Formats: sequence, structure tokens, C-alpha cells
Amino acid sequence: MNDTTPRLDSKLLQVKNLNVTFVSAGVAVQAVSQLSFELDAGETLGIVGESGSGKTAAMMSLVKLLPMPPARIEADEVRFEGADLLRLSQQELRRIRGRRIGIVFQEPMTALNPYLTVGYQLTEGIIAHTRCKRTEARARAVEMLEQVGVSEPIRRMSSYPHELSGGMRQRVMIAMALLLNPSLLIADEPTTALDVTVEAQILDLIMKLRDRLGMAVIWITHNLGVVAETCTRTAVMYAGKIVEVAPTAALFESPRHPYTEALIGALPAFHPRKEPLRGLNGAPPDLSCLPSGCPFEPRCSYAMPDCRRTSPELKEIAAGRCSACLRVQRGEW
Amino acid sequence: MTSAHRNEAASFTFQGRNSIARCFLRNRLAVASLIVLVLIVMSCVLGPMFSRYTWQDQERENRFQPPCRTHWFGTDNLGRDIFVRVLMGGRVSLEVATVATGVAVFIGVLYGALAGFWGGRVDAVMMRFVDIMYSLPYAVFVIIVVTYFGRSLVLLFAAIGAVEWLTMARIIRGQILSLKRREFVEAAWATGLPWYRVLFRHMLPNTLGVIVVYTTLTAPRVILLEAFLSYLGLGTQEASWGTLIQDGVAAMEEYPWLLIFPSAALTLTLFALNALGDGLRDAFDPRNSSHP
Amino acid sequence: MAGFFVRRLMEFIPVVFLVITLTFFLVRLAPGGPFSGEKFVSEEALRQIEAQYNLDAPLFVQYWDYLTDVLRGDLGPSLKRPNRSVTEWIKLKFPVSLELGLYGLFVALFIGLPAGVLAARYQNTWIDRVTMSGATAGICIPNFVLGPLLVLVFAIWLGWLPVALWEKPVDKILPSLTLGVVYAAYIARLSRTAMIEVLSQDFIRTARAKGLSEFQVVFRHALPGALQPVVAFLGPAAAGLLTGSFVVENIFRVPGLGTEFIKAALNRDYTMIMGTVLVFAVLILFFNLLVDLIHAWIDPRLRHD
Repeated sequence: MNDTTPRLDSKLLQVKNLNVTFVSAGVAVQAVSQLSFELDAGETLGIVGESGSGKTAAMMSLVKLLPMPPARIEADEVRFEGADLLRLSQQELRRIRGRRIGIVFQEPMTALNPYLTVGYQLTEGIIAHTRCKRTEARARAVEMLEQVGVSEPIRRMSSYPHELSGGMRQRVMIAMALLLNPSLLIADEPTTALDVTVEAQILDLIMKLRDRLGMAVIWITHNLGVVAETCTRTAVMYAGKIVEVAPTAALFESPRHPYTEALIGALPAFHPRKEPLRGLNGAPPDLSCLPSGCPFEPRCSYAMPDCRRTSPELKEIAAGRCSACLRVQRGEW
Repeated sequence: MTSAHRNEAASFTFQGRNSIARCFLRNRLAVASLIVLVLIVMSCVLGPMFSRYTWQDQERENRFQPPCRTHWFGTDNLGRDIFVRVLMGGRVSLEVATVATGVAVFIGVLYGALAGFWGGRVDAVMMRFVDIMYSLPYAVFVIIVVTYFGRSLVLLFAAIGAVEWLTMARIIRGQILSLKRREFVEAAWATGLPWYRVLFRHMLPNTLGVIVVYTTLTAPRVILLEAFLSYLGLGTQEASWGTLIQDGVAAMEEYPWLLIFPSAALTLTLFALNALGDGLRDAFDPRNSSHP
Repeated sequence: MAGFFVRRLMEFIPVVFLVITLTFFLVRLAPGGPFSGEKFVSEEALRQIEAQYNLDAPLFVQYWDYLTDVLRGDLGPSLKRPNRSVTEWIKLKFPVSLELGLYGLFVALFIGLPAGVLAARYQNTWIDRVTMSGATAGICIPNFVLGPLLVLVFAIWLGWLPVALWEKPVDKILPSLTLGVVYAAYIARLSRTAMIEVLSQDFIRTARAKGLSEFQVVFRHALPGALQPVVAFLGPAAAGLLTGSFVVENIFRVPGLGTEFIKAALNRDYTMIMGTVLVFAVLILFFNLLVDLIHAWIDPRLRHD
């Protein structure tokens, strides 16, 4: 555990060739395949994809928060603050969960324990990690609730989750994830279950806290609009693979993968007014029987015969930009 | 107060018959149980006919014989063959089980179906009654009935049937409630059928799987209750498994086989019925699987 | 909370009334009476003793008298053993049955819950299979089979424990086990299913994401949810623990109320039957109320009711 202190000029998180497979009743489904990416300290990375594209499975697998079995997680390396997460013992991994890596989940309705008070759920993490006194933990929890904009934090401490509104619950969830000042926050569609007005507030809140606390954020979403507002860099996932990575601005300006282009094309705000909105043809692929070539080929309007034969790897096509499109890699797009 | 019971009634989904059969056949324990049950029933029904002994033949010179080649399960204090007595006891137990389960299922299905079908206030009152019945010391009533009105078999059927219908009623009510909103039921209404035809021809047949499952699970409870009464000396005059066990207990210190064989027969039957019921339930609704 | 309590206590009244009425007429309508089996010197003597216990009055008058007596807390004299009143008999015998029932409950909870939780936590491993096979076996072995078998093995063959009686603490081990094992088996199965369900829920993942220990995740976060069906089961189980004690008291010669009840039923000791049934009914109702309170105590979402 000596090398867990972050080295300067090193990346906060490096993932190399992550594979996640779900095995049930003898059938293996590869939910994530050959995923590689890096993250700097303080950076915000968006992970975009349709539901079922493996984005949540990929990020949860980093801290082994998938039920195993059926999930099987393999990777060359998942290096976080110097430690290889997948090779840590359960106990070492526990010391990272919640303390160095905080997670905000999608459904504030179900992600909080209905049987325990907000106060208990907030303080137990502090106590587990720092062994501090209950009163001290309570003080920190109240302070954190204040920071995330929960009114009457002291009264809220003794509330149960069902007594709070959806937005309030998500604020509690965020407070819970940030209590111990993690260097990485994984936000798994934190606003999907909320009203649009509340969504904006929560989005705003996370960004403010990110700046104040200086943590890195991985933002998992299916909503490109959210990415545009929040992320410095964006990775687009399709069928368990990253198909394009680029700085967010560049990604929107000139997408370098047909799937990215299609996603942006389906977004009202980024669309020229006169043309009709283009939806994406076809349905997401069945992960248990992927085509042998590029997984997007059946829905791709730029597909060429070669696309059906070879499955393209994610390759660097320009400084800071990667794409997994054969056409792009051949310089034909 | 009753959430556990209501949960049991949570949706049963209907799949194709083939997949139910396949799922059931994959469950080795359930299939084995079915085979064991068939064997038990066959030997109880047919076995005594092929034996040299009858259940009341006494061989005074062969009292308290341990199991041997001529008397597979040994003999009792009067030199009677235990094997045949266990088979005859099985006849009584299975007879009671069949009829009393039939009574319980009939009452339960009818009551539950009507409560679920009428809904609203009627349903609330009817189910409240079931709740109350659940909270009565029913074994007490069965005991009063059988001690007071003599040990007639018919009465035993009625008494057991009358207390074991409650769970079935709850389950069927839940099923009917959820069926009410289904399209085919609305279609049946739309054709102008009278209510009893909608209920009995269109809705009830759709709960058949559930009825089969819970019948299989009611049967062991009924057998158990009958054996319980016989054990206390309150059952029928003919010797059922419970009676044999009671006799066995009295002599177990020196002649343990008198206890062990009837106990094994009863326990095996109960186990097989329970395993079969669980297997059927899992086959009808794999999501509710209660077994690894 | 007080309102809830009072409301539930009010619900006791019709149930108890129903029980009294049902038992009263069931018992009276049957042929024969408490003294019909006995040889009296004369018809005169029989009529005299029936008059002494008010048995010659019209049935509804007797019923009304009994109801008013019960309201005054008087359960009458025992018809067959007049040296004590029914209340005195109950005071004497009931604590034994209650003690036995509570021990049975402890056995059920302390074997059943850990087994179920363990099986769920190690789902589909050999631990799970062994515990669940044990549970299925436990459900299928009737207590009047299990009891004698336990006696045979532990008392007669091994000589470790006494065969019967209810005096020293060691006497109480086998009866309590015999009574509790079936319920332990049910609780193990119920809590396993519930635990698996709860462990797959989102808030368990949240708890793990906080870096809590497995112990905290299972016992602090998952257990309350998994307890709900177990608690719901305890209502009917309490009834079963009481009536199950008929057999256990019989096997181990425990001087409890169950034995008294069967004796009374066979003897047609009207007042004694009524008294014991009343005690059982009130106790079962009380247990159901307790179960509801425990539900609300565990699940805050039920509390505002």
C-alpha cells in the first residue's frame, strides 16, 4: 500500500483491456470488451451510450461492484492512484470504495436503504473508514448535507429516505459519495430519474462540488446534452466497446465515428433547424451474438464491405482523439 | 399482518406447456419425488394383496421379531407383520389425504375465486374472515370436533378440509384479482356472458397451474394433520401411520423398528409431496425459485 | 401509535366473541355431557349435579351466563376436577406451555435465521445446498416423529439427556428442539429467499460502494428487509407453536395446558375446554398484534399508520 500516494505527472486512473463477461446458464455474454482509457486528476470524462452498451457495467467493474457470479471481470490493468484495483484483496478494495472513489447511482428511490435513517447511512461510511467518533461523523455529515443544499440538515439526519423528495434523495446520495473527499467520483446517470428542473440543479451542484473539491468525475449518461455541459472529454460506447474518444468540444464539432455522428444528429439542440431530426435506425445489437465485423455495421450508413469482415480496434487518429471506425482509420472519412 | 401470504400469490406467469414440462423434468429431485410417490401409492394399494400376511394376522410365536427375511419390517407385540401394517396404514393416510385435500381445495378455490371476483367490500370482508380464521387455534377446533362427534372418517375429512383451505383461498383470490384486468377477460365480458361463466369458464381455468401446485403442497399438510390426530389417539379406528407411530413410541426402547418404519414411510411421503410441490411451483414460475 | 394499539385491541373483541360462541355451541351440541359416562346412583343425583353447574338451564341462558361470567373474569369451576377453578388450572398449567413455546420460538429463530442468511449469502454453494436440504428435511419430519427419534438417540441410546419430564434445565432441551425445528426450517427457507431478494437490490450496492464490510452489508443493510417475511410468518407460527405443544407435551410428559386441553376434550369438561380455547385464542391474537408492531418497528415506511 506504499505506492497508493499519487505520483505527480501520472494518471489518476488507467484502464487497459478491461473485459466484463456475464455467464449464466452456460451462456456467456460479453458486456464490455477490450476497454481502455485514462483519466487525469480533476478531469471530467463522459461515458455516453445507449442502455445496454455496457457503460455502467464497465465503470462498476472497476471497483468490483458487479455481482460475481454471474459477472467475470478481467483486465491487463486497472491502475488507480498507483494500485491495481482488480488485484487488491477485498479488504484493500473496501478501503478505496467510498474513501477514494465515490459513486452516485441512478435511482435515488432504490439506492438508499429504506430501513435506515439518512443520518445513519451518511455516518456509517465515515466511521468505517476513519474510525472517528459518532458525534464527529454526524457533524461532518451535517456539514456535507449543507454543502449539497439540503435545507434543515439536522432535521433531515433523522429522516428516512421515503420522507424525502427525489431531488432531495439524490442530494443525500451525492453527499454520501463525497463525504470522505474522494479523488474520483463515478456518477451513474445521476439525473435520469429526476424532473428536468431538478436535473439542472443536480448537474450544477456536482459541477460546483467538483471544482471546489478538485476531484475527477466519470459521468455515465445516455444524454449527450449533459455531456456537452459538463465533461472535458467524452468516450462513446457501443456494444461494450469504446468507439470514439475526444475532447468534448471537438467531438461535437466533428465526430469521427458514424455512431457518434448519429447520436449528435438525433439531438435537437445541435441540429440545424431546417432539416428533420434523424433518429437512429435499427436496435442495439444482441451482445450474445455479435456480428464478426464492426458491431455498428448493420446500422451504419457508411458501411463498406470490409466492415463486415474486420472488427476495428480503437486507434489514435489525431492528438487526443481515437476512433474505432475502419473508414476513419483508412482516412476515407 | 399477512404480507407473507400475499406475496405467495404474487404473479404466476404462464408460459408454454412445453417449457413448464422441460423445467420440471430438469429438476431431478422433483422427478424422483414423483416416482417415489407413485411407488408408495402403488405399494399401499396393491402391496397388501400380494403379501402372505394380512394386517391382523397374529403369529403368537413370532412376537417382536426384528426385521428379517419373512417379516421385512419385523413384527409387533401380537406378532403382526409391520410391513403389511405400514402399507395398510398408508391406505388410510392416503385415503384421508385425497378426500380431505379435495375438500380443502374445493372450498379454497371457490371462496378465493368469489372473493377476488367480486372485489371491493365483499372481498375485504371475506379476506378479513380468512385472516381471523388464520389467527384461530384451528387444531383446537379439529380436536374438539373429532373427540365429540366420534371418530368417523367422513367427519375427519370435513374437519381437516375445513381448516386447510385458507392458503388456497388467498392464492386463488390473488390470481383472480390479477386476471380481472386481462384483455381476454374483458373480451369475455364483451360477448355478454353471465358472470359465473366468465369466472368459471374463462378465469378459473387460467389458475389451473396454481391450483395444481398448491394442491400438491396442501396434501402433505393434510396427511400431517391426520397423522397428528391419530398420534394423539383421536383419529380413525383403522390404524393409519399416525397410530402405528404412536404404538411404536410406546415400544421404541426395546423394539425401535416399530417406530422407525412407519415414521420413515410418513416422512418419505411428506418429503416427496413437498419436493414435488416445490418443483411444480418452480416449473410454473422459475422466478420464484426457492431452491438452489 | 396509541391509537393504533387501541384499534387493534378493539379488533380482538369480535374474534374472541366468535371463538367463545363457536366453541360453546360446538361443545354443547355434541351428544353426551360431562357426567353422562359416569354411573350415578340415581337419575336424581345426576339431575342434582347438573343443576349445581347450571347445566339444566336452556342453552341460550347458559350461553348468556357464561358470557357475562367471562366478562367478569370468571371462567367457572372445572366440571371434572372441581378441586380447582378453571382460572386456577390455567394459572397452574399455562406458564409451562408458554415457557415451552418460547423456547421453541428461540430454537426456531436462532437456528432458522442464521441458516437462511448463510445460505443466501453463499447462494448456490455447498453451504446453501446443505442448509436447504436440512431445512426441507426439517419441514417434512413431523414433531411426533422427531421427538421420539431424538429421545431414542440422545436419551436411550446415548444416555446424554433425560427421556421425559419438565423440571431441570436439561429436561427442556429435547422438547424445545422438537417443537422448534420445524419452524426453524420454515424460517431458514423464508429468510434465504428474502435475503437473496434483498441482496440483489440497489441499496445493497450503495452500501458496498461505501466500502462497508460484508458483515455490515449483510446484517445492517440487508437483514431488516429480509426479516419482514419472517416476522409475518411468526404470527401463524405462534399458533402452531402453541398447538404443536399438544404433541410435544404428550411425548415428553410436560405438564402443560395442551395436555389439559386434550384431557378436557376427552372428558367433556365444558368449562375447562372453554377456558383453554380462550387462552389460546387471546394469545394468538396478542402474537399477531406483536408481529404488526415488530413490522412497524423494522420498516419505517409502515410507521405513520
